[in-house]
Amino acid sequence: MTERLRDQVDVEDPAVAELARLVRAADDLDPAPGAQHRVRERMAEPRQRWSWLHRPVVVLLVLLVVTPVVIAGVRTLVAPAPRPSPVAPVSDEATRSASSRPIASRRAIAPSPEPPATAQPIAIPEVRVPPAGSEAVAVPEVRAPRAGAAPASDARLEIHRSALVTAAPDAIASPVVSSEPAPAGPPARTPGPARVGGPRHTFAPSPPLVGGSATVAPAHEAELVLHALRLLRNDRDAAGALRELDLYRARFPDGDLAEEVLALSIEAHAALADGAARTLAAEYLRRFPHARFRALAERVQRASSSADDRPFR
Amino acid sequence: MSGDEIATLLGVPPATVRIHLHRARQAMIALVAQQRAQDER
Repeated sequence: MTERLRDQVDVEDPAVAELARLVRAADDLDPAPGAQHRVRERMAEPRQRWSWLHRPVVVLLVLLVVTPVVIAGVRTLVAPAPRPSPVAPVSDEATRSASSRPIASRRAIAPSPEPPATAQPIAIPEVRVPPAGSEAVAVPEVRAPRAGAAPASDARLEIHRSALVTAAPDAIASPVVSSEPAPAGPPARTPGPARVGGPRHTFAPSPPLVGGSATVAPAHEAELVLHALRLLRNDRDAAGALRELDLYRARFPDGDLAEEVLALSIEAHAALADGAARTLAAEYLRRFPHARFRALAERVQRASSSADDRPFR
Repeated sequence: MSGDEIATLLGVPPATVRIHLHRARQAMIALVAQQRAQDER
């Protein structure tokens, strides 16, 4: 218990002694009549029943608990009741045609509540069959839906990108022999002799839509590039890879994998000792000056420059 | 009025009353010391 100030007589601190003296000199507190009685009465009163609610911590806790409950209740009331989905009868023909369509197209058609009798006929992908004797692969004129790409497709893109980065192109070691200066225009694809007679690959995930010798190329750009990558790196078929890459450029002019396709084209042309590799390398450095395959492009340019600098024999 | 009475009257814990009284006393002592220093000069 702290000693009252007025009772502190023998203290060493002169300030405290002075203060105690001042307090003692003051008159005793003479409360107004009834004031002390009111105080006593107030003390005798029981504490208010809900006074603990006034404490801020309690109020905060109550708000934290009540607010989510109220919000959930309001959402339940506001949200419309789920309507039964209209089930449209599907004929056998519609089912068959839908099953032979790419997944993205099926996904776009599936939620349509209209019955098949009134639905618009779905355009079957047009297949361009090459003329007899041509090496080109039949290409369905279907553009892969870019906005509707599924996460699995994105994952494939990433896998493909990593494959491109990790695999070291060993075909660049051979110098590129260029017989003419690099043209300034768009890269000219000169089919070399090695491009003829390469092994033909059919991509497994995409079933062929037409019979016979025509093969349907993969629908997704990642599959197309992956196919080209396999041809180039696994099968050492640079010509076939170039064919696939040209196909990609034709179908996806603004594709997401344009940079990778360009890098693969450089690698494939370099493997064929084609002078177009230098042009493509210059194009790559111009379009992607700080990209991942810059070293590849620069290596190809250096190799072709050293080949050009050789004295003519 | 005792500290407990003040606490009851104000609706605060008695320790709060005691700490307020202690701080008030320290402030008063500091004021007196300051006044004494000015007087001695």
